Amino acid sequence: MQLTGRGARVAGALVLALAGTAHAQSKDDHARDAPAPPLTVDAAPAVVKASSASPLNAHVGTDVAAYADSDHVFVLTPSVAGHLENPTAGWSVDASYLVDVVSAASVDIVSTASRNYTEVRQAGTLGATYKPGDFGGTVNGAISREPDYLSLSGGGSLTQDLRDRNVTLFLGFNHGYDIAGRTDTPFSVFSRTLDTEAVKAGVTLVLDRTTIASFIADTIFENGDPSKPYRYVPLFDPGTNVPNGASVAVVNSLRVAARPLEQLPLSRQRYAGSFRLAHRLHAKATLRLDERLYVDSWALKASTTDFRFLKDFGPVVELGPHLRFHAQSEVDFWQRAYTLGPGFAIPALRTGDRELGPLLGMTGGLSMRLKLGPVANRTAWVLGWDANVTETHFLDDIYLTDKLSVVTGISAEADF
Amino acid sequence: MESGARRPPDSVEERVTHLRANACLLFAILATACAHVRPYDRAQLAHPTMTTDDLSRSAEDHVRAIQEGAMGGGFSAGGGCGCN
Repeated sequence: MQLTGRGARVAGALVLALAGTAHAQSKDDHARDAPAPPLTVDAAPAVVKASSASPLNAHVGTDVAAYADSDHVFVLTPSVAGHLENPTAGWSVDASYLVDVVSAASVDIVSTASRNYTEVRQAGTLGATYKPGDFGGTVNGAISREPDYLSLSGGGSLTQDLRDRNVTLFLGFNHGYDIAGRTDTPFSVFSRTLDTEAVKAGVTLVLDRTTIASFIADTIFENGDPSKPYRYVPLFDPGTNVPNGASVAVVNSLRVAARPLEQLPLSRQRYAGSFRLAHRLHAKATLRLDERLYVDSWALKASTTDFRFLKDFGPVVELGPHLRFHAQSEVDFWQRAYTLGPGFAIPALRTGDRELGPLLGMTGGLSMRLKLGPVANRTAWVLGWDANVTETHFLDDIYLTDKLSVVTGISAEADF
Repeated sequence: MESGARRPPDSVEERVTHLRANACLLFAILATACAHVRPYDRAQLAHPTMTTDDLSRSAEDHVRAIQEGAMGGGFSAGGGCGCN
């Protein structure tokens, strides 16, 4: 918490200290130049639209995504989103709604002799931005609801453009409140809560006429019990050799009778630094490179590298590959096979979440956008499609050593 | 190996001062490293792919937030993991 306040104060001081001088300079420059498109770290996708009589621009989109993996989890996610803005007045509002239909029969479910299940999650977001000049702010809220889980979050951010919008500072805060329960059991009977505070500070730089870069620092503080209420952890006698990727049958033959619920630490501090570079090549393609480094108080360290190349094939078609590489270490209480301590003591911290173990993930994908609007405004109608295949290699885990997953989706967007 | 007296840990105020100084220095370096591009020179930067937003689909982000311990948290509502 101390670090949160300190980080916020430093970033806030930077914003406020530079706001005054930048405002004076940009006012002078804007008197000579036409208004520039705003560049923000976390703004909604740009909507480029030909001038019209109405001061309002509306953008609507719908999207259907599907996920499937080799561990028998399937998710279908239809969603809709809308954006209304008045660029002259500097305000905009956003809203989105999605439904997740999850069907799972994963090895974790099989190992506990539970039944397959199908579950529906609904989620919505609402946001409003006011940025009449170089300085602006955004407020937003989100809700996610499913039979045994409720997640609420809200926050705001400030943006300051400097040096004729060649530099943009960003500072955001978000608070989240999650309640996890059990299906068909009211939260008043059984629930676990998790409070999350997140601070994000960043800067976006226009490096030249074809290149932008951004640096973002994230700090996330979680307090509460994030343990999964359905996840049981098998225990073994000391000295038992449980091989990597041991099957359900092998684990059941080796484990002791006791099988306690997962128990994770009750607080977590997470820190991430991200760098993003976007470069336009000969006005016909865009090269994007992201790098994110992460560390947290559970000793998990990770690196994520993301690369995209989006090439214009004429005025209508945009097509390109996507590559992503993720590597992470395990948390400091991770064990492939937890063993009983002296006096049959159960380990105080224990997890079966393989997301907390050491893993490598490689993603390859392809995305395509068809700009079908009139010649004067091609992006007025856009159809999109993408597919990404991920191979995840679990380096130290029971049940699974590899998982293959696919995420694909189609989208349609329109401007009015 | 010389075992000299250890320097006492910095106070919170000193750390904040150092952090501010480092942040200002970093910002100064970054701000002067970029060219001054005029608004009429920004046609390339206005292309929709030249955003600093993540281009991933929200469903893809959600899956990663569930399946990678280093992702997630922070600025989006959680839940809906499809896991056990």
